[in-house]
Amino acid sequence: MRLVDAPIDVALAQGRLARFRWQDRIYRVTRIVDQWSYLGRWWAGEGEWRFYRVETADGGLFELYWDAAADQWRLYRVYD
Amino acid sequence: MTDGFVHLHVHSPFSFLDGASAIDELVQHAADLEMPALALTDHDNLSGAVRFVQACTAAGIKPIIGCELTLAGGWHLTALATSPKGYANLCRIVSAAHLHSPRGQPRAAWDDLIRCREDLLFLAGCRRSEVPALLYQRRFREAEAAARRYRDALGRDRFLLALEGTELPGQHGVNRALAELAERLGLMAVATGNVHYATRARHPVHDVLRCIALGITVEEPHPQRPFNDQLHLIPPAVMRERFAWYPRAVANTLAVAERCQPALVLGQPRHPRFPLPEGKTAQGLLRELTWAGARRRYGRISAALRRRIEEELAIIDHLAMADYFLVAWDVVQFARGRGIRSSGRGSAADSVVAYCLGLTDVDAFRRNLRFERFLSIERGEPPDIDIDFEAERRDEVAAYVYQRYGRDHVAAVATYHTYHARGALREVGKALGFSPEDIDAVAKRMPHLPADAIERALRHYPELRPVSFDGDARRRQWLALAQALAGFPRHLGTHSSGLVISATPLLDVTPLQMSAKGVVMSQFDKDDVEALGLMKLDLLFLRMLGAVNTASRAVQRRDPGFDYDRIPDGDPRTYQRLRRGDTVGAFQLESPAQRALHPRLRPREFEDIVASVALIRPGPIKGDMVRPFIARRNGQEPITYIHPKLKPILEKTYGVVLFQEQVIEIAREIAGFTPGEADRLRRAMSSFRSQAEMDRIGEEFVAKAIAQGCTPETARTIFGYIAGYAGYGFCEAHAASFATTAYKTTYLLEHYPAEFYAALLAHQPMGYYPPNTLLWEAKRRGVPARGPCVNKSGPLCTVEDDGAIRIGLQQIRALSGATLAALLDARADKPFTSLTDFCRRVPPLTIEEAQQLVLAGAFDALHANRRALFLQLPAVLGDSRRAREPQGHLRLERESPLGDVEDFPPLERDLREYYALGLTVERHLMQHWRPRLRGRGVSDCARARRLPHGHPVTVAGLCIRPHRPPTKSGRTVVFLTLEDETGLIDVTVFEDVYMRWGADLFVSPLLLVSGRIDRRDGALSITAERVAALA
Repeated sequence: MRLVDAPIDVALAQGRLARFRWQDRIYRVTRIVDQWSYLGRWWAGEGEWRFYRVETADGGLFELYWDAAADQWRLYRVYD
Repeated sequence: MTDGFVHLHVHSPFSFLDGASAIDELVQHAADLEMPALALTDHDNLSGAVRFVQACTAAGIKPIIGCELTLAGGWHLTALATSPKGYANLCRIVSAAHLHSPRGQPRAAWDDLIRCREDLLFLAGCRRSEVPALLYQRRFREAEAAARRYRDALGRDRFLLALEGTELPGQHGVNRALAELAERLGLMAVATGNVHYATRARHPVHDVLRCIALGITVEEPHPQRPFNDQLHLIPPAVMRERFAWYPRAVANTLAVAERCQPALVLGQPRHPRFPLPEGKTAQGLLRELTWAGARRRYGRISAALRRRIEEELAIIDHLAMADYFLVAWDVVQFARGRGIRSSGRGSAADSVVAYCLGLTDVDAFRRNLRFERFLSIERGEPPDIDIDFEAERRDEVAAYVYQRYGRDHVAAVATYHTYHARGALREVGKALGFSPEDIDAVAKRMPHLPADAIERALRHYPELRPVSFDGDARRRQWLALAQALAGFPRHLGTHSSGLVISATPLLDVTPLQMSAKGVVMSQFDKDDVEALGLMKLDLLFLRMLGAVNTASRAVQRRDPGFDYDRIPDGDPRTYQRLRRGDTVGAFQLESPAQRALHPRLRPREFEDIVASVALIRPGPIKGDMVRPFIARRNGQEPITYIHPKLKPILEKTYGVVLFQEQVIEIAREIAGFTPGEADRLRRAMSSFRSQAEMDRIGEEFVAKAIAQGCTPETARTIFGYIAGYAGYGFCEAHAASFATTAYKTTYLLEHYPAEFYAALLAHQPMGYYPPNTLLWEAKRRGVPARGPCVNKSGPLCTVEDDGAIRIGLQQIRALSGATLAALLDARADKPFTSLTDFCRRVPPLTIEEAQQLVLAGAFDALHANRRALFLQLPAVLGDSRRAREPQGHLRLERESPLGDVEDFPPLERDLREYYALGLTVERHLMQHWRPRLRGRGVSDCARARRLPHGHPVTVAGLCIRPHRPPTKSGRTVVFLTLEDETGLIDVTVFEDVYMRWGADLFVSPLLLVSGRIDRRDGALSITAERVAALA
């Protein structure tokens, strides 16, 4: 398991996660294994982080999150 | 409504630091979301239940009463009552959890759950419930075994699995496992939230509350802090979406709501049954006692009196309240038998029956007081009988009530300690990580205000000028969050006087728990208890009654014929004292406003004292009734009535509305209100929250008055009288009751100052003035005072044989009961001869106690140099301890080597004495400033008091009780008293001066005030033009 926490590009299809690009490679999401919401340091202006643990077509397991305050998708963790 | 959803797991602020939206907000939001029902499931208590039922009823949704129980082992289990029996069972489970566990850590016992499971539903769902917790840990077999255990013990139809939709990591998997378990074990599964606030915006408030509860700052992670902001009332549509994979769980919430029938029925009378002698009825016994009392009180019973008593008895009978009166009568009888001084107060004194029973000492018949102010058929509510007992013995009386009616039927009433500005700022500031210095700088200057008034206070109060929340996001957050806690209960406390007494076991209607004081108390407060239909008896403690007893005993030592109960009426010297306004220490008559009133009112008879007790109240002051009353009373203004019907009502108060009873009478006579309607009007006026509401009341009054033949103009003017009063006044009965004690204590003050002031000091805290003021008032009356002495002082302040007040040892800060008892024990053998001797013979003595004894001057008679003793203490105390050890070596001659150390300089010595005792005995603190002040042309209080009206003056002194009472103009006026070695002088600070110079006014203990002497009708004060801290 590796902590990445880097911005990524995400594509949605009908409001659901479809694929994301990381290190110039595109990963197709085949299943959302789990999802949850985390609210960080609200007192410091942080907003909601909406996490998704996803399986990709190549069998990878990733954790992505959408940072509401920054309006940005990030790859949080990779399960090697 | 098959597509509906009901939240079954909801916390309110009564989860104490785990609920961030008020009950009304939760209920209203649920109604807005079109939920047909809502549950309330606070942690281990039902304190919010009554107001929850009231709020749901008002919002038109079904209340489901429940509780999130903490089981042995710490697991959570949510219980919902499906009927009154289920509610009673829940009360039993919750009570046992509290009463059989260490205080503050309630744990529901498994056996109690099983025994009391009937008509309850149990939901296992949150992360801290056993089954889901095991599933989160992926211990599937153990989870299933646990679920089977709950199912088999509680019943298949009573045990439900709750699937939470709060967006936690791993929750989806756990929910699927719970759904499978439900299918496999034949259990119902329901979808729930885990609601701790109404909307997501309240998450920061919830998180801060959790930090406060956990004693951490927001920067410290903790598993019991919320993970996200999903603990709100999640809308039904969102819940349906989250459980689209298992829609049955959502639908099942409606089935559960359907099963939960009204469980808590309000307003059903549950009065106690008085234990009656064989063959008697309660009403019969009450009649007997009343008539016997009437013969004792009145001798001859006139036809009018007979009619009045019969009318009262008929109403009591109609409302089935005889037991209530008998219970109160019995309590007073017990107290009398024990020599415990008591005195009825409040509207009970409107009753002739209460007077005949000896519950009150106010003759309601002679005073023509209206019974319906106390009890009316229309209202049908239990009356309030409030009885004062001397403070030190009030618990004896309460113990008798427990013993008489059984511990299952009696409990203390709770109070909800709610957040106010200062506490909210302190706790939120700490949670947000502000430094203690930052927090002190804000909180110490904050007046006592509701938490949501902070922002307004910052704009309004000059002492808050140094405080700013602007320009810094973090500080603005601090302010906003502190304000958000307004009105939230912080914890449960015990009501100081209220006891509930019930005919049926209390556990059927209220959960019980142990108070910090060690008494069993209801989880409901006085309003909730009343709404439940329980009878509340207020056994109040009045320190003045204890002081009166102490003073009487002291007086009897030199004047054995003295009897407080036979103090003569109309004593000329007592009235002269009143007219001088020289009443510091007198019950209800000592405040600056009262002292200023009496020279103007010039009281000559008891009724004047009744009036003065009632006059200095917010209602008469705001209604501008004080000045006209005085002018009319003294014949300086004609007494007129704008309507002939007002004459009989207002005649005794010179045409001015002074008492609550008069408001009721006016409503009846002028507007034709029924007695019940009139009392409702009075109550509505007492509790009105907006001008719009008052206008509505006014319209109703005027319309009815016109219908009765009043002109619109007259009707409006009359309403103006009572609207100005607005209910914030005494009822006449209460004023008359207090006036008796007020007169008698003024008599004591006049004739027996040493005994009375010593008694006041012995019964602190009480009254308006601090001990230092009382002692120096006594000294100015020529009463000598002596400091505490380890050989001569008793525990309390006393009068010595030569008439001097001796300060008691309990006056010394930090002296524990154990040390005091050991001191008195040791002294009974022989007097102490030295500090060393003392330390050796009083084993529990701590260094802090010894220091305070030295600094208070308790060793002066043995060694006058306090500093020398203070410096010797550590060594002497250490030696004493070693000497008490089995192989201890005695080397106890430590006092002499430091004997040549110079004593503290006089100011330091007195300041230390003031800190240790709360007073100085030998020199007034202001004497230290006097030489410098004299050089600056600053007057002392005595000299200022001799100056003519309008004369400029500057005075310095201790600032006593600065306060901002309501005024008729609505503007802020600060009243305070300056005290120095020569006496007191009152100061009025008007708004413009306060705004300009008031920064130090509520902060500095010593003030320098410049202004002009104001003499009016014999009353004297300074009108301040400038106020500053005395450096």
